[in-house]
Amino acid sequence: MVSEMNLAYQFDFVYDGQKIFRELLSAVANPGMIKNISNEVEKFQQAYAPLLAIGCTLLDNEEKMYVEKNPKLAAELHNLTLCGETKLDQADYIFLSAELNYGSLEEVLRNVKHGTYADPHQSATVILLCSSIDGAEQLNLCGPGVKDMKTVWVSSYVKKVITLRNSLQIEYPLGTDLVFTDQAGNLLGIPRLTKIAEQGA
Amino acid sequence: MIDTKHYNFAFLDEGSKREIRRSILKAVAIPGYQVPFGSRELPIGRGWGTGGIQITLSIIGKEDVLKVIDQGSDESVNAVNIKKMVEECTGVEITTDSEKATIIQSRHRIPEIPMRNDQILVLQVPTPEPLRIVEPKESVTKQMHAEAEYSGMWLSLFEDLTLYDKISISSEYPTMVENRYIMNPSPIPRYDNRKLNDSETLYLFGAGREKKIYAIPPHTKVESLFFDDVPFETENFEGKSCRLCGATGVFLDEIVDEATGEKVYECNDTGFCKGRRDRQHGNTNFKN
Ligand SMILES: [Zn+2]
Repeated sequence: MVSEMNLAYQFDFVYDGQKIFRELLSAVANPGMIKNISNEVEKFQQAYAPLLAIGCTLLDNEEKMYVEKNPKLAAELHNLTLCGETKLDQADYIFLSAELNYGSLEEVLRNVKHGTYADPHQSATVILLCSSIDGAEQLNLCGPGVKDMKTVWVSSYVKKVITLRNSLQIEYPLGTDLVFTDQAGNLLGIPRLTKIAEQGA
Repeated sequence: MIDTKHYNFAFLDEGSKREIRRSILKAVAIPGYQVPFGSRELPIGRGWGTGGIQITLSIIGKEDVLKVIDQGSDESVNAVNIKKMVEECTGVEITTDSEKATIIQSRHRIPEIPMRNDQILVLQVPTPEPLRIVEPKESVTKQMHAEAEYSGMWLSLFEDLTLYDKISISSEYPTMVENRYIMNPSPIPRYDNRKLNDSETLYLFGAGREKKIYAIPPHTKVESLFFDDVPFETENFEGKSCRLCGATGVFLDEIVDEATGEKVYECNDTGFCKGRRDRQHGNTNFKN
């Protein structure tokens, strides 16, 4: 079934999926280090190609997804991976294909699964497509995966999302892991322990 | 021997790989926490455990270069069997040179040459639960981790200390990760524990029988448990050196010369030792 779907796209579930996974792994293990999956993303034509590429890497019928206000993307992800849709507060993977306003963003980040103290891994990963990760806002990151402190220059949207997530002060080990991607196929991983460093700290 | 024509790239089916990959990403996000996963049967001896191999097979790509070591040795039967299996189902290049490898799978040692950020060390773990020595029930240890209720573990270390005058655990010496989770560093010697702290490289731990995956990302705080007045001590090789390559300040195996009864020492990390000797002989274009 899945192999037939392959033909409609250039995406190779075995080799392209492996490459994307390694870039994702590296991004999550090294927050602030920008990775790139454009070679694999190019195999899809749609505007939300980066989300299809990441979805095909992570999803199948064992997981549940929530796609914010984009039925076309939801249908395509389902066709490609057989992953079923569910409500926001029950989904393992959340796909945001458009930049949300502050209120909607807060609604999403507050209500996704944060895991439990016994099972903190049963929490949602939020995957956000933005026009560009790179931008004029300075972001100083610290936490596991970052040596001392790392400065990255990001768009105001990326900074807004990370700041908002951290302001919710979800007690570790509960939390929400963020993955940003953009039209150029860049990846930025911001797992739950990544903090924004105070200036001069 | 497996017939690779009838199997996927990297042996595992894509669904299994995806599940292991999702677990790995969660493990990296929650350093030191044991993420459960559905372990698969593999065509390889049970004794070695299959957790590490499943991680390696789930992360490896065609361009990777793999090194496998068992108790410091590239040439042990187990290491050779694993290399053969992975090579047959992926076609990747195999090496003994730890600087050339992109993925190193190991049991019992972390290589002597510090690993880089673009490498991954996969460690095989037989018994992932560090609290098992104080509590046999999985449901109880899980709750202890949930509440960070580690007083039983500290008490056990303290009893050990009063009984033996020092903490007697020689390998699998427990660590505290990011001030939150007590973690079993796998059966590496105490000497290697410090390499986990603020490292450049990503460590992935796999336990096949107990179906757990956990991780230490680069630059993560990993401390060996100790009491303020009794500092953590590692194996001490002061004044000793490798009889083959002359290395000091590395983890050495003690060997008794049967003829003279004298104790001699050799590097435990055979790939490291061979590299040093090849360089000493001026042979710079050696092939492994
Ligand atoms: Zn030596």
